[in-house]
Amino acid sequence: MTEFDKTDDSVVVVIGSGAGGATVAHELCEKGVKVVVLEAGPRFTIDDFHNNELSAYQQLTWTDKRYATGDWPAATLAPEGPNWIVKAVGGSTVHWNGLSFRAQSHEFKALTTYGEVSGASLADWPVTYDELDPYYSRAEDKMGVTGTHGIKRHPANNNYKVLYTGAQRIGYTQISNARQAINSEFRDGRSACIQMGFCNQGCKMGAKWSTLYSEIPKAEETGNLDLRSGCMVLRIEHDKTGKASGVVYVDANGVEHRQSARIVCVAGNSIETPRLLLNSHSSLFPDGLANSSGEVGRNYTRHVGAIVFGEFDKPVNMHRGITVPGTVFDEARFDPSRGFAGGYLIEAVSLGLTNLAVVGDASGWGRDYTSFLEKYDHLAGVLLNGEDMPRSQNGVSLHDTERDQYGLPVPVIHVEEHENDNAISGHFKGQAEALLDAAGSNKNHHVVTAAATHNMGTCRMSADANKGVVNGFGQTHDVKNLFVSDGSQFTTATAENPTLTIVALAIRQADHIVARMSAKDL
Amino acid sequence: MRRRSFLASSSVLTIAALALPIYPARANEPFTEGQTAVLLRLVKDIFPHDALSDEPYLAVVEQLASAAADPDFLQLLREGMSSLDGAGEGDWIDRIEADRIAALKEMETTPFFITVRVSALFGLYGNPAIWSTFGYEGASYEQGGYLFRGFDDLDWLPEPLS
Repeated sequence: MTEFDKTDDSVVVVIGSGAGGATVAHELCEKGVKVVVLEAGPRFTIDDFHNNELSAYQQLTWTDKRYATGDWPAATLAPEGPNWIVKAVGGSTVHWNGLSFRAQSHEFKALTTYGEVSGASLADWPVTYDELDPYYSRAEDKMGVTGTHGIKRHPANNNYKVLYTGAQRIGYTQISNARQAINSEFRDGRSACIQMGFCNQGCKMGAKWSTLYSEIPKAEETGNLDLRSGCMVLRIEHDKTGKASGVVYVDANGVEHRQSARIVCVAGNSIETPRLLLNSHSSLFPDGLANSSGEVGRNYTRHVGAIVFGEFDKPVNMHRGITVPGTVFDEARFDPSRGFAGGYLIEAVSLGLTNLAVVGDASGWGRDYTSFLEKYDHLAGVLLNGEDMPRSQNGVSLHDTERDQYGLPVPVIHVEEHENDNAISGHFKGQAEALLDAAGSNKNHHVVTAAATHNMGTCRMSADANKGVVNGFGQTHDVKNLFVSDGSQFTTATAENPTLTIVALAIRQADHIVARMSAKDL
Repeated sequence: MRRRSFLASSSVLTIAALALPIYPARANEPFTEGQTAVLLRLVKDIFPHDALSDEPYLAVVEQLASAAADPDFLQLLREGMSSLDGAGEGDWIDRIEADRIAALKEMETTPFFITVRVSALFGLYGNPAIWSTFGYEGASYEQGGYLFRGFDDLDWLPEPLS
């Protein structure tokens, strides 16, 4: 394994090894750039994964202390665990569903398209769909997205059959089970899916794309990657000119180190990324590194979510096969006649019995609840993924007094839901009921989803240095050699699952970094 | 102390992380026979499934007993059980189901009830022994997934056109 010297100031240091961090690292390594990736979590192999919801949750989840405040469901249902993300090499690509949708052209111009929405901090992205288009294509090829690059779709599983027929019967036309970064056949060294379920518990076939067993080993093969797992970054340091000069981190044994850096890319997910910048304050950057705009930690979005389960006369066995096997796109359009800005996706979803019991009703008990659970194999689920409004007051801040095991201030995640978010979830609930009823549901059960898995926006992109943290390449406006490489960059949430866009942006960012390095500009 | 923090939060996903340690099966030393019977009745009333035997519920009671090695936790359970009897006529365990449920309804936001509910939630639905009763098949990797075992066997709706 490659090891670079800690005093080597020619390396790019990438913080985090998920969709953004590992992709930017791999792309740089392929182009001959030396990279050190610092990952807070441990490194597992696919053999370590569990086909068990509870033990997988315990194995993979980032459970360091956090607080949720505000009026979102997490503040009451999961006040100390509001985000379901992964602390391991591969980051949340270990537990993601594999849905790989491009955001729509108009969504990159949210402010222009939707107009000013009172109480929301909408803005246009400084990058357009057309600019991202070739990078989306490269990301789809890299990840092996079904329905692109000649990659065949998966066959329809039971849960998708319910979604498909119900959707068709209520007049929807854009229904698809394509756009999965899950191999339908052997490709790029990864196995084909065997429809085992447990996509969110770490894919034991390695059929689902994850940086853990795709980008990272490929980057290691170049000899240009030094991946250090179990290493939590405490702060980013800068020289007297204000350029990032290195990072201070603590390893799995509690020993503190400093790694010098030519460039630093932060990709710790939208909670840890702004937290790290805020914790890296100095006399030169008293409000946090790269925070002259005051936007670090603000404009947090996480998608409006909800689940509805329908109860059918005959068995569905939703747990058999791909966890989120298909999607309806008809409501993703821009159409203010529905009474809200933005759009949403309707996705088929399954839960195992344990997770269903846990989230089905966060305080449920008694015969009403248990009779619902007893219908387990006759249930089909549909999930909402809707564009939530960015708001300046929503975001990540540092706790005044409480410190975590590393001595760092605990992050506080505050969300005040916008009325537009509630309008989207209200619209979805009606449509989901109609869809399930049309497929034959006798009774529908509404589930509140508390924990956010799509975290975005807390270091938003803006062409204007006063209104955002990074430019269209994820480069911070204040510190030239400091980049943000994860979903924190998103200016707005879009209705689509974020991973493909994160990967496309990371590829583009790596190209930009290499070009600027060649031009001796970085 | 970890127990304390989840009591305070009643946070579902936080609890998932905390409630997981599987306590070794032990005799129910901290409780009298009568208290053990009350705990068994309690977890059955919270998550009643007529198709299940007492065995998986007793497993939850054993987990509670193991966790009661923590004196704070033991005290919480003992006091909670006493308060159950106080909330109506006669001993709670001897009442008819409707009356028992009414008494529980009164205390569903207490730390005692939340603790027992959450312990039972993970102890019961996390127990693979009960899954087949619900038609949940659990781990599938070892059996080669469902590709040849019914991932698409739903035949009462039309096949999707791709």
